[in-house]
Amino acid sequence: MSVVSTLDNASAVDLASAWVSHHARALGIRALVIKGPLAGRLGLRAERVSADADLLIEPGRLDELTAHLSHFGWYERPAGRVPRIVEAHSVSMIHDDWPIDLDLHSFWPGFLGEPAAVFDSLWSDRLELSQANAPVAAPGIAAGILILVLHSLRNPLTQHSGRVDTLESLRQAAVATLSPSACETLVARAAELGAVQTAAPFLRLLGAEIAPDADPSDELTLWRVKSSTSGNVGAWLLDFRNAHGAQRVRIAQRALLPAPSDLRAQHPELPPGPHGVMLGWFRRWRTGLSEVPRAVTTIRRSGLPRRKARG
Amino acid sequence: MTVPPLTADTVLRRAAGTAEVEHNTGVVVLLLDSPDCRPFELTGGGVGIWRSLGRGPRSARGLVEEIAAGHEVDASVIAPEVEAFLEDLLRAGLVENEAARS
Repeated sequence: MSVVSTLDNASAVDLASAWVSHHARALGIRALVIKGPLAGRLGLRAERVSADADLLIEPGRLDELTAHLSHFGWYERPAGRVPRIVEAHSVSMIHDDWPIDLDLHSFWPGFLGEPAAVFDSLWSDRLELSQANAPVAAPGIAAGILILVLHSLRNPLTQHSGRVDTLESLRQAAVATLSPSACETLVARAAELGAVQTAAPFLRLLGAEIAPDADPSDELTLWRVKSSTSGNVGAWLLDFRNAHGAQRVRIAQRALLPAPSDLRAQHPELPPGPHGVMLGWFRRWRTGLSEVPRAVTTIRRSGLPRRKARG
Repeated sequence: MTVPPLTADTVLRRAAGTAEVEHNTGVVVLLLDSPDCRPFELTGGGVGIWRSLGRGPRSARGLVEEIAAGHEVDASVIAPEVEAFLEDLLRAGLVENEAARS
């Protein structure tokens, strides 16, 4: 018997999901395992090895849970200072002996209902399952599909990268798991969770008739900006638009020439030394600047008032 | 952790609160309340012992006999190795002495 020195990702995700669920339960904190291998085993996506254990944590209890987990060697992954269109919704924790991140989410972007009500709804519909031979809870099938759908729609340019599920693969999963009423079930569940408009492209793919919201809330507008732009370009532009004078210069500098520490926090894969920083900047300019025209158009068309944007 | 001495009559059970995954070389087990969150890898004959314990509490002697019968070897030949492994499991907290629980 030996202490595991090189834990593979698949084993680590299963064990870590069970471990966090156990500690959350001990603290009386509700936690749902989302995405990842459980979704694969439920037939919601193709089975593939995840790089993170994702859990949705009862709103208002995330800090308490992360403080508790920090006693066991887990610590928050340093993040660069990057603005967000949809407010920061998760904490990534890492451990020196584990190959994966714990991604602990305080709400799920795209569920525009009040976060506590959304979580209560997800919890009331939960599945009690076993992961790594230990008890865990996961969202019900329809909610689990919507979580994957919103994750995919939030990252439009990665839909064909294999990192998120395509809408077509999710449609097939929905039909396979929820037939004969996949469309009705998902529209009803989306309505309960405040996701009819955010998940509309997927629901339409299933045959639902979803009229565009003629008077969208700011949250829905921000969601549309996020789901129409790549990476953080839209967020940088919104920050820039809402700022004035010297503040704008600082934002532009952080966007185009971020400090090496920020750059490495966002891109830990960069090679060491000045060469790595230069490479990071170059990649940023190449991908970011090409996205600017589309992001500008999207923000202009969104009709977002200047001060409503969130950084 | 102080571990009571293991005898042939010691009845062992898996600790409450473990997670485990099958691995291509064995089983990886994590004690969910472990203070350092470090999983253990059980390989070789250890996998069979762990699985036997998964079917319920066993005495050390019963485990030795079960493993011996499964491998068609004399119990006295494997007893020292099995008992040493059980002591490792006890020290790691992955199994508990049934008598110590009550």
